[in-house]
Amino acid sequence: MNNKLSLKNINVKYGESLALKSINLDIYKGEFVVLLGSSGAGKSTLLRTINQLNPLTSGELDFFDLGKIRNKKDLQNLRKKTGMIFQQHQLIERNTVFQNVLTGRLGFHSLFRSILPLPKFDQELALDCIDRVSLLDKALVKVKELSGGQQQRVGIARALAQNPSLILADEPIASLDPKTSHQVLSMLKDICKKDNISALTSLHQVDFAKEYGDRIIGLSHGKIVFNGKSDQLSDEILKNIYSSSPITEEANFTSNEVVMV
Amino acid sequence: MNDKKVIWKRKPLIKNRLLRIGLILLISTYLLSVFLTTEIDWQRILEGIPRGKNFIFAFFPPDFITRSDEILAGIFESLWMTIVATIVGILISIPVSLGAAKNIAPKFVYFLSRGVITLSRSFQEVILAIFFVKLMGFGPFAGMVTLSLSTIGFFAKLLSEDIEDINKSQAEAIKSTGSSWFQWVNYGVQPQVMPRFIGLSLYRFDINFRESAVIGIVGGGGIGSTLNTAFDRYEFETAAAVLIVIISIVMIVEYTSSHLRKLIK
Ligand SMILES: Nc1ncnc2c1ncn2[C@@H]1O[C@H](COP(=O)(O)OP(=O)(O)OP(=O)(O)O)[C@@H](O)[C@H]1O
Ligand SMILES: [Mg+2]
Repeated sequence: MNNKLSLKNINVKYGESLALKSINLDIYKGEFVVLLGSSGAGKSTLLRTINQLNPLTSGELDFFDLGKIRNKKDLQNLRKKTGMIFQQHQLIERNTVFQNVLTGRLGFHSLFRSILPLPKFDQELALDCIDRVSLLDKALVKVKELSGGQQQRVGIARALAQNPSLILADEPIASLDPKTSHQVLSMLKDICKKDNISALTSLHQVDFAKEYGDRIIGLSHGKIVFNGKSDQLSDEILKNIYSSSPITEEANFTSNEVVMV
Repeated sequence: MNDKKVIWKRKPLIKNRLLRIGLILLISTYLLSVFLTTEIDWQRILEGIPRGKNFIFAFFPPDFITRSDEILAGIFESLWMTIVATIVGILISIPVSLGAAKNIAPKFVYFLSRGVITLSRSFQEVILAIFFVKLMGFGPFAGMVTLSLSTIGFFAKLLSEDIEDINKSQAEAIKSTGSSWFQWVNYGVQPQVMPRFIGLSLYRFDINFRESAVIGIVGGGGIGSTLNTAFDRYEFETAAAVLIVIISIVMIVEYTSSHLRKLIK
């Protein structure tokens, strides 16, 4: 039994340029981890590499019970157990909340089964998830008619419908006002804690990261430059994370998972 | 505030002024010379007028009764042809349009599908119909095959363009749930193109019915054949009736389809 997600020596190239450089990272069951880094640091790339919406150039993924991801079948299973929440929510806007959340169940059915209406079990589960993000009264409303915060909650419900082991969230609050941001983040965190789901969430706001993250990962120029609790996140370190020139050496943090080159 | 008015002028298509004026002059001279050198035989036009008048009067009064059986049979044949051809054509178009969408298909499939579309579009319906009538004999089957094939070029081309315009990130989210490729198409792509799909289907039905009348004239069956027969027998009153029927049905179909399309939007 494996109770963590491990990224081992992950490299990702876009063409010739390295977007992620030998990333080593463990995320434990039920842990709420926040990813910080300036624009272009590779946050999206890291998140999308975990469920391989971006292919990884080299390295190894160990995913909870699935173990090492070796082939397409493993990947399919990994994606099935990984809910993803996007900045631009990425819901099918013409469809209703219910239809969108139900797509979280697709991976559990064959094509032919999924052409028919999905079984009652899935439908009830979807409704349950919609209820948990307090949108039950909007279940049959088209997504494009909802507010940004509500749409993001639909995104959470869809991820939740997958019964995931892991939730990846790429700047889930970037287009929301502060009050709504708190609502969405605390909802996400509560749900993850209750269901013992691990989460990796990229954020732009340091104070949000400190408030919600069990642990914070600092990414700069494709490298992990900080990996620790939020109270260890000093101004000095923040400067490092958000510095404009690539950091090479001086990073010297408490956690032994920090990669040095 | 800056109160200097900026006058915006449309940029000319051709930047070089001399070239532009030269081209305009050249084209006008050409058109003028064409107009002046075309022989217009006023004599023949004058002679033709009374003949045309007789011809048109021969259509009156339209006669729906004498050949009512044939007219009815023609209508049903045309409608049947249209329905079957539209359905068959669209069913074939679906995979072709997926293949012809750059953002979905691998290069090889893309070029293959584009080839199919180009091939289907490069033959006018009438030419296809003449070919298939020769191949399969007179009658609605040849017409049906013709219409199905030309539906593919039309439908797959327009649908594939719509597929290329989908919001890729919406579809990507479906992929991230661990869905298979077909599920991704069905849940990520299909809902985004559905309004267009329905609109195009109705529009194509409309076109196919009109075309069915035309290809009937070259032997493709349906109401066009009825019309052709009427002319062959010099029964202009019946021909007039058939024409009226065709026009009415085209109008009904067009009105209904445009109305339905508005409803979907
Ligand atoms: N599809 C792509 N093709 C080529 N280069 C890319 C691609 N996506 C990202 N990059 C590059 O990889 C690096 C990391 O990008 P990434 O999107 O992961 O950054 P990010 O931390 O998410 O930034 P932001 O905060 O702006 O979202 C950037 O330098 C970016 O230019
Ligand atoms: Mg990003």
